[in-house]
Amino acid sequence: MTPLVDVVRIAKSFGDLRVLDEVSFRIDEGETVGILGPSGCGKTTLLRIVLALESADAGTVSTGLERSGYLPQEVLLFPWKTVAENAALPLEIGGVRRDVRRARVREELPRFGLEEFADAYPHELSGGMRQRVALLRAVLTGSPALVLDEPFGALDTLTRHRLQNWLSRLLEELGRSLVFVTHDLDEAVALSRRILVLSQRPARVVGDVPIVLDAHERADRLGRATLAARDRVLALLEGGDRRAGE
Amino acid sequence: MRFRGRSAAPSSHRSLRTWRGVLSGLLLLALWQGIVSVFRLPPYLLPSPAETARTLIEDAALLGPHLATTLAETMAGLALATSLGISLAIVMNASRWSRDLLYPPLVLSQAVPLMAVAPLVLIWFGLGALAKVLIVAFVCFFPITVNAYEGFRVVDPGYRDLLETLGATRRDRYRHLYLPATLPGIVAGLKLAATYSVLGAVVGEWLGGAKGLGVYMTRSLQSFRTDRLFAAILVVMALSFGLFKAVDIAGARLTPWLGRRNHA
Repeated sequence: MTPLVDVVRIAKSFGDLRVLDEVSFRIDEGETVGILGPSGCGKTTLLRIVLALESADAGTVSTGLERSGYLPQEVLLFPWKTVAENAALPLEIGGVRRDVRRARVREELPRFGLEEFADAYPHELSGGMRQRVALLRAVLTGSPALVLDEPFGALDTLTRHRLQNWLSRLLEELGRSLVFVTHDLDEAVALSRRILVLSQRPARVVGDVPIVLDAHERADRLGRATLAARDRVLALLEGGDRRAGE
Repeated sequence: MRFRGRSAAPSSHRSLRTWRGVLSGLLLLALWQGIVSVFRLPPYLLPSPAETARTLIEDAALLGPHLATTLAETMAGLALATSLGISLAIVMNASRWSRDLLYPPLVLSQAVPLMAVAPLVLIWFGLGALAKVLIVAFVCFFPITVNAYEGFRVVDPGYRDLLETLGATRRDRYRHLYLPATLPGIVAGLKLAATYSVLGAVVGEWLGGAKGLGVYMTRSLQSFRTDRLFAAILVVMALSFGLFKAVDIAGARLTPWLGRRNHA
């Protein structure tokens, strides 16, 4: 397997605040990996390092995610661009001709449930729709990997649940890698094929758990297999928490 | 692509706003007429609105070329101030170093009284249109520069990171992020500048020149034609207001996303 990200013993501090400590992991192409950790443990910093937006103080990072389909925590749609223009931004920056861009966006809008909203501005959309626009923009980068930072954190439970299931199906269709960070255990189990568990700050990797669930089990949040996977990850999270407190 | 957003404002609201504006103008005229009538002021001290209107109509042919000159100088000065202001804001936004170098003199430039600068500009550049254009630009560039720069400064750095992951160049960043983000600020600065601009041109003409509303005003004063001075003042006010409205309308067209948001 070709590595998408290879992180070896990286550390990062902001002034006196140590955020990452000896973090190591590897993600291969085609994998769907969730990075799970408590709020404020340094997940976003870690993501920014693998996106090459930030550099580590120590250790080595080899990443193929500098040009990826990135969906930041705050979604960050451009308020002055319509849905179609926001979605087409990666193509526009990539120098794709206007008519080709329009055709590509028009082709993809129905898959994201946005065909009626191409000319809408972001503030005219619901939170879930804005999320889908940002995902469409990430998909249209053409990058083999999508990188999501707390993708559905700001949404209500029902919308979050629906979007997680929808994203899971979409990823199957697209065949892209997914790397995302979250503090939501259920979200990590629902979307990941593998979960990297981080400790409290300064974050260290305290577990690397494969999540082997079929599509049916994944959708059934209260099924035995899902709950068993959830418990395994929770135990690691609590263990990491205890170690950090010692 | 069927979505259609809500229109900027219902037409009934717009016409209500227009009528309120007309009413405020009528109240001012009534107050003016009231002062003239109550205090029985002679026309050389304060002509009535009716006398001023009569002079305006009688002198229309004479005022026309002066108005055209002032308008041309104002527009050229505004255009120069806009390009200079945005360029300066871009340079200041490029680095902390350039910001520290340029911001203090920019602020200090506004502490210099216009009445001291304007004669100097006339001495350096002569009595022609160029000096007036430069005076207008001097008066107008500050609000445009400051608003544009502040607009650049408050852009959420998350957008910059996002564009970075898309492989955006500096040109892309300005095109997709900085300029649209700061456009409402630039429009606000331009609205202020539009109201100052006519004043700048008139001051320049007042101090020296052969044509323009300022020249017409000095000649009116020298011949004690207060009614003509008032007529010119009305024209200057109308010109300022017209420019302000033109910028307002152009601004609304350039920022359609705000129109829908403000009136949603």
